Amino acid sequence: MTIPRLPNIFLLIAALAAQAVLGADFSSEQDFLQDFPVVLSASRLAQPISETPNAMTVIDRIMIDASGARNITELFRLVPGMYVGYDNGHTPVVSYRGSTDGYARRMQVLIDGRTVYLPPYGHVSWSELPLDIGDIERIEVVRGPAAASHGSNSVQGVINILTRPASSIHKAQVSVNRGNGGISDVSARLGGTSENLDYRMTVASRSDHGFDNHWPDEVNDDSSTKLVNVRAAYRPTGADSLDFQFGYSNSTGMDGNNTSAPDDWDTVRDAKTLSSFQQISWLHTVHENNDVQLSYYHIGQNFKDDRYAVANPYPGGSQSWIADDTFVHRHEIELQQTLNASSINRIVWGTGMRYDLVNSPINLASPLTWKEYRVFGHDEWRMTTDSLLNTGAMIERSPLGQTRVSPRIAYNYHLTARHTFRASVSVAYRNPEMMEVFGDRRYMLVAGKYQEFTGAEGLNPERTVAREVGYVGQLDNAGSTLDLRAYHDHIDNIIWVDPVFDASSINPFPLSFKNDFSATYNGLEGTLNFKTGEHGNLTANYAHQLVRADPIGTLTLLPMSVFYQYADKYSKTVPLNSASLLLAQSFSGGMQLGIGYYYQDKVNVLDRTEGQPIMRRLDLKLAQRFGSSRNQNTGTTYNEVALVIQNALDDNTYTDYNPAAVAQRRVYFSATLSF
Amino acid sequence: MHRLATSLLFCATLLLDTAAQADALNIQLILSDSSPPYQKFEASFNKALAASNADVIITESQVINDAEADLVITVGMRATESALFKTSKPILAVMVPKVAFENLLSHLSSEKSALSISAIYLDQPWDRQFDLLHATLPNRSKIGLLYSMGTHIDVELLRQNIASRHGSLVAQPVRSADSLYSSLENVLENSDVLLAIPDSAIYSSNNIRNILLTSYRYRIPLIGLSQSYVNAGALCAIFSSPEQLGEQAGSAALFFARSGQLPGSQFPADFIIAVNQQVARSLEIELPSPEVIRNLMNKAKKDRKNK
Repeated sequence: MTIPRLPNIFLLIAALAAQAVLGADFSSEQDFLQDFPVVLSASRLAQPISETPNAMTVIDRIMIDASGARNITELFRLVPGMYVGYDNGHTPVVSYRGSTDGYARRMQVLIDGRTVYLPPYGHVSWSELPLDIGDIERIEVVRGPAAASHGSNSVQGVINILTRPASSIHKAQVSVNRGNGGISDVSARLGGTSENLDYRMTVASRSDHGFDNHWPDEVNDDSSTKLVNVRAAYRPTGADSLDFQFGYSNSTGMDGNNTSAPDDWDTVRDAKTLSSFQQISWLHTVHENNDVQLSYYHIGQNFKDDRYAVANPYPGGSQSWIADDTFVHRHEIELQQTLNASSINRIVWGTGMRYDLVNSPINLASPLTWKEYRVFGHDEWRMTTDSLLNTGAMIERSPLGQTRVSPRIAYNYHLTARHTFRASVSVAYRNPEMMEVFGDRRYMLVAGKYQEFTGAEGLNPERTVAREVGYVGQLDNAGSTLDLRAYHDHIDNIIWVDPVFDASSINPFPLSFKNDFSATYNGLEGTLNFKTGEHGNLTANYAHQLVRADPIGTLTLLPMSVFYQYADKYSKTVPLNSASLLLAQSFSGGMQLGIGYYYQDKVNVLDRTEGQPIMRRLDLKLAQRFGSSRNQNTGTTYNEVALVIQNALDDNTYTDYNPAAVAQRRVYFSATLSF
Repeated sequence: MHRLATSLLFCATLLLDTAAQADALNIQLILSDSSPPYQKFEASFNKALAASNADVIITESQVINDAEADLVITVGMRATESALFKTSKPILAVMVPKVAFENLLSHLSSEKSALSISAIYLDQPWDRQFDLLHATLPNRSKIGLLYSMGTHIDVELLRQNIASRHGSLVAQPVRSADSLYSSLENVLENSDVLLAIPDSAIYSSNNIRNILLTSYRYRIPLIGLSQSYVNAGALCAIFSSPEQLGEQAGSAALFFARSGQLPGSQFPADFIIAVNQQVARSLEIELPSPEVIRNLMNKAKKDRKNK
């Protein structure tokens, strides 16, 4: 499939400018008799939260603005049970149900249906995404396995980021942030709508100096990202619409330490990432109850973390060049049909194929091509006026040639129109990542080969069986809601490290992988969304989590006593209690206040020796909007000056995933102008 | 013998025919268009009169035979406009929007305005629309309205009308095509239901997609003007079908046949309630069935009369 050419923006602007002042001709009966195309067809109508088969958290534009967040990942603290940590300023760790290591592999992450959870490690390059936080319309987080509707690796949850539609930007807008810690962001967006073509485009640059450090530790994590993001919608007929998107980003992230140890490969350098994507979706509305959508996208990522290792000190000592390069290409095509088969039955089914190509000489012995095929179906059956049965399954053929079925069944019962109970059971699989199976990460140093990781063929996929009961209630006419759930998830065959012996390596015990644990997660989660008057909203989230893990089999080299210690430590990978609060309040006259408070009990990520202490963080945002649309909350065109204080209490006990990093208070000013 | 019989029969037929023409009411029906809505109107009108067994002759034509016509029924604005200058006979205009019809009358010369002319409007009275709003969305009182500069809706009158029902009107003028979406966002931001009005500069097939998608993003339902609006994604609409208007025009014609006078201009008597349950469900709106909505509306109407 070829990538569509962009609309000629200049022609478009000229066409829009040429439109005359509106004056209706005298209304004739045609206003009543005209035919319209079906707009809100079956696939565009989302299930209400009270009828979804999983618990769901929605982070909307008002919350995004009130949070004062500059980076997308900070928003996930607003999801009950979501762990957000940082390896360094530009390497966040976002993971549902605590974290076992720096890679969150048990979650599907989608941006407008594009999965950005990339090989070879199975990670999301959050900081390098060609997406500005200002272009996010809303984020839907499915808490629980959802392979039947969101594809493979939707094991513990799904982050579904929906960007603003092409038609949502009508003016030019420029926004600037300046603050301490080197915060310097600029973004400019432009958009227009016309008879059958809408477009929006964003150019943005974001940079900061990252975290401070615990002396004498070093954290070199200055970073910057420059990006372009374009979306256009074209409607050739009333029944067809084409959505084009493309994005490109160029990121630099500093890493490493000033070290003098010979052959130390972790030297200070700037890693460079180029990311791009092209996406096209064709939605054909057969009639209001039947939509067919065909979509294709390509993601390309070029990661270069090249550097010299420290030179050997003897006279004329040589040094090694480490070409830490990874090239990733993903192509995916999907066909989906949404059908209101009857007034009580809605069916979504489809099929897709994914093709991943990874060339990373430092990580893999040879370039790898993985193909994955899937068929999925979901049925929403309104059994009675009060009850709903969601059933679905995905059948996938994994890149390793295994065929798996991930079913889900959920029963929602409306006690009254405002109070709903839900019970569900689902099964989902996480396929092993390329690194886990074929990884061969090694450095050629002066002293010889240093083997870091070695893949393990024959790994089984991780398998989750999740059970939950939930409640969704509407508390008042203003729309305040309460969402509660209790869950019991069992994950089998958790893949984690297993040190092995390699005589050819100067590091004789590289890490391999093994199906190490089975773990049981139990917990309670709740979200209260309370409307504080006409223009205020308070969101409160709470999660109580427990996990226990048992070893499977034996480790290759380490004794059982060490294995049991690992399993014991596993129980500390989730914070026992975590909570977040966000108040978004706007006042007449255009003043807006955002207060965010985040709490997380101690966590000890499995691959860290030091635990992360209790985190308390307070963020404040005070904004003044001005101009004709100053009282708009969700509109896209406004003028604003704002002051944001992140970690206002300067709680120095608040450290992140990486104990060397310390997040000190950050203050930044922002100004946004629309014209 | 055979020839004589044929001649007699011919004479009798002629006599009968002439007699019929002398007594029967001659109605000239003029359609603005031959598209299905007008055809459906005609069929329903014919059926209504046939069922009444009234002595009526209906001629559908684009040319008015003024000498023979007793009553001219024009269907749609175009037919009404052209008939005004071609006939001196009483005119019943049907399927015309009230505002457009009244505007046409206000531009008539004094000799023409002496004509006997009446209408059955296509649009629904405001009271009925508010009854619908109250029956479907009892908790939503901030009514959003977009209007173009050419709209002949009296916004201030509407504002007072809504205020008297303890609601508020959030009306936003749309001055140019460029400002449609910022006006729309302004309205959606401050209202909890969007009310469509007959205004082709705003509610055109080009704009309807973005209006519906944007209001859906804001989770604000649109109240439409026809079945087509509801199919496209409006929450609900009340409207009168050509068939219903045909029946009503039939009754008006019979009234004329009996009294020689046209009834006063009137709104449609019967109407259809269309709802989009899929949209309601997705917006988490508990929408009653059309039957329940009709009962609630009837009750509101009765209460209003009793006041």
